[in-house]
Amino acid sequence: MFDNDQLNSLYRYCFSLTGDESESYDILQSSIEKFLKANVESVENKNAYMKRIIRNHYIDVSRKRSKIDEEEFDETVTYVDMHINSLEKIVASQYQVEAVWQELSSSEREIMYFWAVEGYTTSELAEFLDISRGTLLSKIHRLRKRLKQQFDDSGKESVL
Amino acid sequence: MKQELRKVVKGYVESQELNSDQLHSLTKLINTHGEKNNQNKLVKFRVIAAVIVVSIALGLFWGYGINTQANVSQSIAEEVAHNHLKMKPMEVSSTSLSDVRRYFNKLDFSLSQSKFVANTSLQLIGGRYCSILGETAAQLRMTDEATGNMQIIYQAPYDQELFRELPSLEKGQDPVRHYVNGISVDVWVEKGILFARSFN
Repeated sequence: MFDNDQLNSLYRYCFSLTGDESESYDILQSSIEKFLKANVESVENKNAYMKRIIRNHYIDVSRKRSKIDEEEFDETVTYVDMHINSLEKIVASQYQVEAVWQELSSSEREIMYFWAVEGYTTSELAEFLDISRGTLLSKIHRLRKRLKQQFDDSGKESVL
Repeated sequence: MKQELRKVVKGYVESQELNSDQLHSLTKLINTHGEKNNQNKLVKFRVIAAVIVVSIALGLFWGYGINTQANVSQSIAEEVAHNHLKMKPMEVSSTSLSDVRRYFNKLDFSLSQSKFVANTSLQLIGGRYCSILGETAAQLRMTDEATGNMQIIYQAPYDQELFRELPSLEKGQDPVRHYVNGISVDVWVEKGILFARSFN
């Protein structure tokens, strides 16, 4: 059903949502149990289906713990003309990324994951996240601004 | 060293892996479910197969029963209509039911009057022995005083194995009517006796 590579790939997606190794494993295990209970052998793309289960399960769990902002995964109407490729212009070190990873919101890490690891386009990502393209561009705009600020600040600190 | 953000993020995320215990545990979870699922499928398959077999058996039995029942009723009607058309000579002539009863002393049952024809203007004129599906029966000839037409009432002991389910007056059911070669034939059961009436 899922080989080791696929399980690791799903685990990484969990990690992009939670930002925590232990919680990622818990989310993955619970999601697999849900997948198995659903008995969905006829699903063509099990990997994509599993990602959907993982995402919904994570949102449920997080809302129960009041861990995420309700608006974080909800659609807003702000529109900013900011393509996902605008993130390409940013440069960072491994240390900076590891440091900022925990500070980003789940929604921001998820965008980073699909952009950097899965290679999604803006349209593909908006479709998967079930939000409008405008909303996604707005999120990307905020993410870029935040990353730029973080990396510039950390750069200044390192200089100092 | 700074690199493009995409490369750095990809490298960082892909460095995250499940350890061997976690992989083993998840694989076991999936495989255990697969085995259970196969067992469930086998059980489901057996249940479905059993339901299909029982359904077919019931269908055949029910269909056979209906078919046989209809066939028996039709067979009785055909035999009765044949007798009606042949109109063989009467063996006893009398307008008295008592006299006619005395003649039919070889029967294993007592001739009876049916409620179904009790209020009609039929007048007994005699009778003869006959058979219905091999069962010895009495054939009572009547004339309808209103029209002058001949009607024949047949009576035979009701053998459920032989005659199957037939309409029963005691159960509030109406006689079943067949039309054979221009003859109308009513068939019913009453007081444990198979009755048939033929008329033009």
